[in-house]
This record gives sequence, C-alpha cells and structure tokens, in this order.
Amino acid sequence: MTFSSISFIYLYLPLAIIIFRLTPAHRRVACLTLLSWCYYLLASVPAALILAANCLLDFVLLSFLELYLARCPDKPVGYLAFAAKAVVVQILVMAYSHWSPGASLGGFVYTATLIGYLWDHSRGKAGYFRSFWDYALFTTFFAKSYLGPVVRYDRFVPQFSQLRSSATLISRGAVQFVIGLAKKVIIADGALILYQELASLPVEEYTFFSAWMLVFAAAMAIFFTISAYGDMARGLCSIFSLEVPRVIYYPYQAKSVVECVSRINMPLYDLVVEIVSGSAERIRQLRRYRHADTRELIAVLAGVVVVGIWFDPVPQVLLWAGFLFLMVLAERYLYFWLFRYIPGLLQSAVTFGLFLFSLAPLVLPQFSNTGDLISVLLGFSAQRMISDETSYYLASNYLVILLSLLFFTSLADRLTGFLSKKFPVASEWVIAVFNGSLLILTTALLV
Amino acid sequence: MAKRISAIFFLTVIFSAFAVLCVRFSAGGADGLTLTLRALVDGEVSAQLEEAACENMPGHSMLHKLAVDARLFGGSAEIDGILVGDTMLMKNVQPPDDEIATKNKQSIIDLASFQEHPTYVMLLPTACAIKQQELPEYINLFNQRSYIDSVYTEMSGSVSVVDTYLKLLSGMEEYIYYRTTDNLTAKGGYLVYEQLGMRLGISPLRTLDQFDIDYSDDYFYGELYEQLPVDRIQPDRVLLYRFSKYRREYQVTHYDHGEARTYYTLFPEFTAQLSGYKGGNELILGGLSPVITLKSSTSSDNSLVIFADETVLSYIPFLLVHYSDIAIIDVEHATPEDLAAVKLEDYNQVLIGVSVDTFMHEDMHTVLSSYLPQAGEAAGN
Repeated sequence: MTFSSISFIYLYLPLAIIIFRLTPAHRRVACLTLLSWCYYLLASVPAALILAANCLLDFVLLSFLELYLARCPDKPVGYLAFAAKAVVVQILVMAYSHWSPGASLGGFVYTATLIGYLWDHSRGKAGYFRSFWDYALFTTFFAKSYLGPVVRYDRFVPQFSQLRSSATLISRGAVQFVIGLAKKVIIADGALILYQELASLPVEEYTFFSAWMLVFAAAMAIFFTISAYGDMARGLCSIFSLEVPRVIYYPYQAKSVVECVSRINMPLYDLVVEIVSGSAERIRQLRRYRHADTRELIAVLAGVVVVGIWFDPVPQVLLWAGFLFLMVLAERYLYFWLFRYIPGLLQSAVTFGLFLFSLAPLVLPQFSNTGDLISVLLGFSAQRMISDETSYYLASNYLVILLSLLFFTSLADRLTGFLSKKFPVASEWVIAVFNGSLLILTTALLV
Repeated sequence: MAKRISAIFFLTVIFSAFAVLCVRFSAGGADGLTLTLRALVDGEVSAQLEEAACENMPGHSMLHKLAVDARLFGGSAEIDGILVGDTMLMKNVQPPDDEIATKNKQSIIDLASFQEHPTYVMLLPTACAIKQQELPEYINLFNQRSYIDSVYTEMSGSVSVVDTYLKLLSGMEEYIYYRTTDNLTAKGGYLVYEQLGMRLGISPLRTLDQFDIDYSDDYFYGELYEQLPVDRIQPDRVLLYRFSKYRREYQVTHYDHGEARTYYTLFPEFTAQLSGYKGGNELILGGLSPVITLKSSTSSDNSLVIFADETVLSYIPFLLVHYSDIAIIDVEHATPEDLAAVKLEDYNQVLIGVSVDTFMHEDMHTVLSSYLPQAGEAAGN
C-alpha cells in the first residue's frame, strides 16, 4: 500500500479520517500513532516491526539520557552515543532492506527526526517527551514515511495539544493531497517511464540530444517524485490537523548549485548543514557563498551526501555527491563572481544545466558507461544531434514533457496567482473544477 | 472558496467510494482476500486488497476507459504491454525467457530424435511482427524474424522447419490477424496452410475456391480489447472456411481433464450460445482443449499429431482436408490424463506448431517430455 494506491485513497484514508474524528481530542495523538502503525503493517510488516521496536527502545533510552544529563549536564557524549546508535541501526536496516524490500520504509525519516531532536535538545530548543505517544507520533507519523519532511520538535510537537477539526486545514490538506497525487501519477511516473526508455538504449547509440534528454527526464522524475510525496505528506498532515514544512521548493530555478541542492530537501539539508556548521543562522548565507569558510563548505558537502542518500541509497550517490561538490567548489572559487554581472534567469539556466550534467554518474544502469555518457553530453563523441528512436520516445511522451516544463518552475503558481487577482470568482471555479478533474483522472490511471 | 469546493468534492468522492466498496466487499467482492499472518507478512494482503479495491471501484469500466483515452492522448503507442495500431491491437511480444526457451528447444530436439516419424517445427510470428505498418515507425519491438531464424539454425539437422514469416508478410495488408485478440484469422491460417502443406508433402494443395466462406453471426471484441478499450478499433468477425469440393464427415472429440465430448462438425456454432464463450476462433472445433482428436472421412490414410497452441485453430480446417486422423495436443495445458488419448506411434507425422510467444515464454517441456522414454519409464515405475 502506497499513497498513490486505490486501497489507500478509498479505503484506508476515509476509515482513518472517520476513526480520527470519532476519537476524543485528548486521545488523538495515540489514535494517529496507532493508525500510522496500521499503515506500516499494511505497507510492510518488517518496516512496522522495526519502527515500533526502535521507537520503544529509543523512548526508554531517552529516559536514560535524561538521567545521564542530570548528572553530567555539560558532556555531549550522551547525545553522540545516542546519535551513533541511531545511525548504526539505520545502516543495518538499509542493509537488511536489500533482502527484504520495504523494510526501510520510514526508517530514514525516523533517524533524521531523532537526530534533529537530539541536536535541538542539546541546544535547549526541545524538551523531554513525557508521553510515549507524543514521541511515537513525532517520529513515525505515516504521512511523512516516504520522503519526509523531517520535522523539528519546536514546530511539530506543540501542535499535538490542538488536534481539533478545522475546515480550513482539511480543505487545504485535501487540495494538496490531490495535487501531490496527480504529480506522482501523471508527471512523475511518466517522466520515470521516459527516463527508463532512454536509459535502455545502448550507450553507443546516444546522441547529443538523447543524452541531455536522459538526464532531463531523470531530473524531472526526481523533482516530481519528491514534490509529489512532499505535497501528499503536507496534505495528509493538514487533514489530520497538523502542519509540516515544505520538502522541496523549485530547485531547478535556483541561482547556484548549492542553492539548488539545498532546495531539494530543505528541512533535511538545513538540519545537516546546521549540525555540521554549528549554526542555523548562516544557512541562508551559505546558499549565496557569503562568508563561506572551509567548515561551512564541508557542511555543504555533508548536506549534499545526506540528501543524495536520502533519495536513493546506492553507491553511485556518493560519486554524484562528490561530482556535485566539485561543481560547488568551482562555483565558489572560479566563476561565482561572474554571476554578479549576468541576469538572474541566465544564472538559473546555467545552474540547471550544471545540475543536469552532475546527474551523469547516476542515470545509467551500468556505471562503467558514465565516461561515455559524459563525453556525449559534452558533445565530443555523438555522431548526430538526434536519433529516430529518441524522436519516437519524445513523441510518445510529449504530454509528460510539456507538463514537466510547465510545472518544474514556479511559473504555473505565479500564473494562478495572477489570474486569481484579475478574475477572482472565475478562477475560484476553474481551480475547483481543475482539482476535481485531477482526482477523477488520477483515480482512473490507478484503477 | 475554491479550496472549500475542492475539499467537499474530494471528501464526497472518497467517502462515497468507501461506502460502495464496503457494501461490495460485504456482498462478496473481497472473497479472494486471504487474511492470515503469513499473507500479511508476505505483503499479499496489501496486494489482494488493492486488487479487490480496483475491481470493485464504482465506475470501474468508465474509469478504465478514461485512463486508456488519457494515455493515448498523451502519445502512448503501447499501454500495459498492448500495442495500439491504427486499426488493431497487438500484444507486444517480449524477449525470450532464456531458461524456458532453451528447455523447449531441447525437448523438441529430443522428441524428434526419439521417434521415427518425421517431425516438423513451425514457429508462427505474432501480429506485431507482421503488421508493422500499423505501428509508429521507430517503435522498439523484439525482432521475431531473427529469433525464429536463430532457433531454426540451431534445430537444423534434427527436425524439418517450416518458415511462414515471408508468407505471412506477403499478406500483411489483409485481415490475417484479428484486430482485438492475439491470434491468426482463417485467412491467415490459409497462408500458413499453404506454406506448411508444401513442407508436409501435401499435393495438391486446395485453393480457396474449393471452400465455402461463412461469416459468424456476431461480431466480437477479444481479450485485448477488454484490457484496452480503444474507440477506433472495430470488432472482429470469424470466417468459417468449409471444404465444399467433396463431402466430408467429421468427428471432433475433446478431452479435457478426464471428460470427453464429441462434435460431428468442424464449426459447432451453437457453442457461441454457451456460457464461457470468448469469441474468435472458439467457433472452430469448439475451441482448443488439452487434447482434441479429429477424424475425417477422407480416402487418405495420413495422420498427424500437432503439439500446438491456439494458433492451430486458424489452419486446421484446411489441413484436415488431407488427413484422416489428426490429434491436437495443447502444449501448455494437456495433463498426463489427457495425453493418454494420444499415442504417437499411431500417427505418421508430428508437427510442433506454436506462436513465437508461446515458444519463448510458456513451458512446453512438461507436455513434450511426457512422450520421451525416460518419462514413460518413470511413469511406469
């Protein structure tokens, strides 16, 4: 069972909403936790068992940490040991998931949330959990099980005392969920199919255009998958009276490579950079390389690596992260000064091109062909601009490409905002009909 | 306000569908659901729940049609493994399962070397290989022509091969494959008969003017259309070729898991009124059973065993003109119990005639090896 399955949308979700609404307000945290665990059980029994066991164990360990910190308040060893244990367990779970696919569901988000909590606690921004259900919901809420967002204690946990029905939240949640679902089913899955078709071509048959289309399709599949799950997570949270931050924010219109990566998973990247650089205040400055020193560049590298592993834990990700970090260094020390003199749109275009190029080590099924692909991308070894097979694949996926181009920047958002201002009543109805049609169409594509 | 309207619509839709699903599930719509701990751990409960929810979804067929239209509008020429041509649907045949194909090939060679009668092999290309003019020019298809050639090369010396590819290609503009099901029409069957007859040593071959042509009463949509309802695809109609030059009496006996039934016609059209009738070549012989024996009142004493799949129904009415006895064995579904009705030594020719798809992806070895000595000994022991 996934968010984009009929059984989730039309069986689990309505049932969960009914149960949640019928539960007295002071029991809703426990209710949501149990509903989450039911979801994990249906999605993957090993994942449910691992998460539940981990959650129970960590809640007990937090009590020991409290005792330890009461005796040695200035020693960070307790936090470090706890975080190390969480990382080791996560690595073991990821290794186990090779034999039992699905076993790592929710694991990465759990670990990142826990480490974020430990960091916040060490800085005095988070208190102790007095209720097991609070801790369990904080770390294992099903809505953020796939791709996050990683939530922070000070923004998320205070909402637990106000889990009451709100028409505004439900409305917002329903719309966000439908839009996320449509992004996944219509665009992300289509872009993935186009990517797989292009990736199935022998590398010697790549032309300049098909090689760039390959990385473009991969980039679109990545963006729309994350964006879709992020929207669905936010929508589901809203339906259950919770608010969570955005996961992704139009990374391909960023004006630097480092800003592009930071926008792919903003909460996670911010957390990693904050922990490694030791400061929350300088994250935004880092995106534009103001005052960046060596430690902060290392923080950027850590952010790139963790965001990469979060999306797809395969060995090539490390190489991709290294490749991207070289670009970050080149950008920082070689040519970023030039950006002062060129228009913002061109900066975004250059950054997008560099990001696409950085995907070369990730996109081919056989890693050994990466060198050949890079050579074609640079225009060194392609014989033709475009091949007949590529033309066919593009023609048979033209709608996905058009939709990707329309929605991968904030252009559509801005256009909607503009129309809403100019024609408020008509645009309200158009948006309502559009959302309704999206729900019907995505349901049709899932049946 | 737009968000409120959208939310009300969303909640109305999901709760209405939820209510309908609950009613249908309680009325037996979720009978296939296995609620055991083992099934839950294996992820089967989730998969079965999804399947049951999809099947029982209100407006399922309308939604399915909408999805097909949306995909076609999006430029797809292949949906769920089915190729959408200008006027027909075709199964997109995938590359071979090497293990199965190797086993099948070896079984055929073993069968040919074991028995004395001449053995013939005929791999029939499917519609997507022949009717390529229906498809976009650069669509990526498995090369059936070169695969058939390579299999024939490996078998040369052990069996006689029948190459029908060029013959069928010569009729590519004609109605030789059904539009909505993955099989040859009788017209395609005649082309196969012409090529096959020459290899089997039949002389003279019967020309089409020696047959009366009847059309079945009804049009039908085959299983490909059921999976992919595309508006522009027209329904099919079965052509029945009845040999008219001489009078013939036929006896067609079907053996199906211990039960036998006999028809005294090649085209038992009344079967179209029975439940379970799927259309297409089911009208010919009454469809394919695990084993069928055919007797014809011809003066010839030739006899033939055909290890076949459903493609046999397209050419059998032509072939039967020349044989007094033919046995058809379904290479996928015949059981040892059914096979008891056919002894190879009673026939003087053996043909293995299947589509390339069957050869590459279906287990023929189990049935073919039943006629090999070690299998017989093992059965005896």
